[in-house]
Amino acid sequence: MSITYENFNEAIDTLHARYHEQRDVHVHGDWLDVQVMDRYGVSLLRVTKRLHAATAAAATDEQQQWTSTANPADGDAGNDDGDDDDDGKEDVLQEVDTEVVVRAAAATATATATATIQQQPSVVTYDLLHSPTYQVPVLYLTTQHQQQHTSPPGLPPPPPDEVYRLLVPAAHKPQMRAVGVMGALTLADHPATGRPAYSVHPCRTQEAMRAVTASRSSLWPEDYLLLWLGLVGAGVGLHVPVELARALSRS
Amino acid sequence: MPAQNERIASLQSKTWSGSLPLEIRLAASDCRTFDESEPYLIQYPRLSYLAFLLPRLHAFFASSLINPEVSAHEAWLSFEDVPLKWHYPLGLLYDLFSGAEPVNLERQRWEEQAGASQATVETSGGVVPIPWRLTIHYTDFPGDQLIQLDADGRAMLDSYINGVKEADFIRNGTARTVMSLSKEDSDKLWRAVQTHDISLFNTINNKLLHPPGLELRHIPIKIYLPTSASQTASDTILEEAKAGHIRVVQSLVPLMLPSKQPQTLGTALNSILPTIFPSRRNPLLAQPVLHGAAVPMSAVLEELSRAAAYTDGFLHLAVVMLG
Repeated sequence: MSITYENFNEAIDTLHARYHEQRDVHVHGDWLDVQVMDRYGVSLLRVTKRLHAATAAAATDEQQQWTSTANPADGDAGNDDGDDDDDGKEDVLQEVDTEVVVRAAAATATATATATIQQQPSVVTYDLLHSPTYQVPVLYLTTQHQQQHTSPPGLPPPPPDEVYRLLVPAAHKPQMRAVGVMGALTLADHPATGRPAYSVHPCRTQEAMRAVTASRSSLWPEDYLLLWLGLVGAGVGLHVPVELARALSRS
Repeated sequence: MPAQNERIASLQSKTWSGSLPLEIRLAASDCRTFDESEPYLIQYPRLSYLAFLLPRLHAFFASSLINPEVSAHEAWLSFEDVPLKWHYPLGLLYDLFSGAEPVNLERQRWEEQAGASQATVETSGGVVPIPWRLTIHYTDFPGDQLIQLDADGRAMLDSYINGVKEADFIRNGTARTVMSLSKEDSDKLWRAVQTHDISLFNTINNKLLHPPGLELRHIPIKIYLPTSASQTASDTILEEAKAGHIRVVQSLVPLMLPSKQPQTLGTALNSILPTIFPSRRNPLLAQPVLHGAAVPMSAVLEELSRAAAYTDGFLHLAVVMLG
């Protein structure tokens, strides 16, 4: 089932309006901002979301990798650092405090891992545009550091593994990796900025939407958008806050 | 009409023979020697992709590289500081960035009739082909503007196949024809693109153009506008526009008009971009350029598509402002 450009615009305008009416509700939530933008006559909805969960997830991964190491004195448990760190490792094993484990893990991790944590993007931008070919919404996402989220994003997209780790909820990972109903994340040119961004390919969205809306002959644009967000957005970490979904739904 | 089909086939053949002379130099910052290294010269098909040249370029420049360990696929190409997108065919890149004046036969004829001097006639088209000078880089990959390639050519294949799927979907309202191609057929198609083999290409592409039981509905077309041409007062600034930013416009263009007349290039452009193409017949403000030539507005879009589409099935039209 498809959606026309006009109805898409109506739906994103409504989402934008409802979000801002509820601004206070969302102040402590993940959604930092919602904007409707116009680029050369093409409209898009931009949702900026906090990525705080990612750092905690990364830390948990590090910790698990850490505690599963049989012998901390054995310098080679996925760790290139030399013997210097052995004492630090043993001390840390005694600690119960997660924070200390995280910090120690970060300090003794390989150079790559450390660099990744330091450069961890803290904000993700989801742009919703309308596809003239497939007549469905399409999602493009980019990540940036907190201090840059109001200025032009200049970071290259992270490698695919990074993206999955940062955004894709554990429940969705197998589905996203295989080319399932929704397809995997691919790099493409963002239609409005011309820069590389990750996108969920729209070619199967129409089919999926048809399956989900089989019993209904027509849908309000806002309800279509909510369904679509549940189908496509959820797989990449874009969950609509409950209060917003309630305010947006017309059915 | 068989004669018309022959004409179109002949035009397609000419399109595939179209090529451009390239002169590729190694960026100074990647070059071991103080003097410029020798340039790499090649006559390259307009319909092909520059990425296929990377192994050859790497072999050619290997002895001059500061970092000899760098891989062929880590390179990137630029024209006057503008990074060149890998998934744009060479012909499209040239039409958009080279600054070459498109050949305009209608204008030439008009000027000849009006008794213009030889000099004026020459300037309305066909700049003497100077090699297009490009630079190859092996460091400072602009990851915020270009998609990085991989050693297996996977990124190029994925982007090509997505284009073919999209063209198929536009034509028939479903991509099932391309999705149901056998592995052998899709391999042949990609090989035909890599080796620039028109007969091999046509054996597979004809299956896509004539799917049993499906009707041709829309013509796959993408229109490229350099940003300066299309800025309007109502635009909110989204991101800082990089030099060489191109706006890509797409719209579903039906095969026929409501009147059952065939869609022409003029009617399509007038409908999609009425401020830039206010007339359906005459290019008043801008020219639609394909393969280095200004295309007549009266061209029937379906025929133009069969004669002059790129390998992914799309007409990639560059808009060049007049005056």
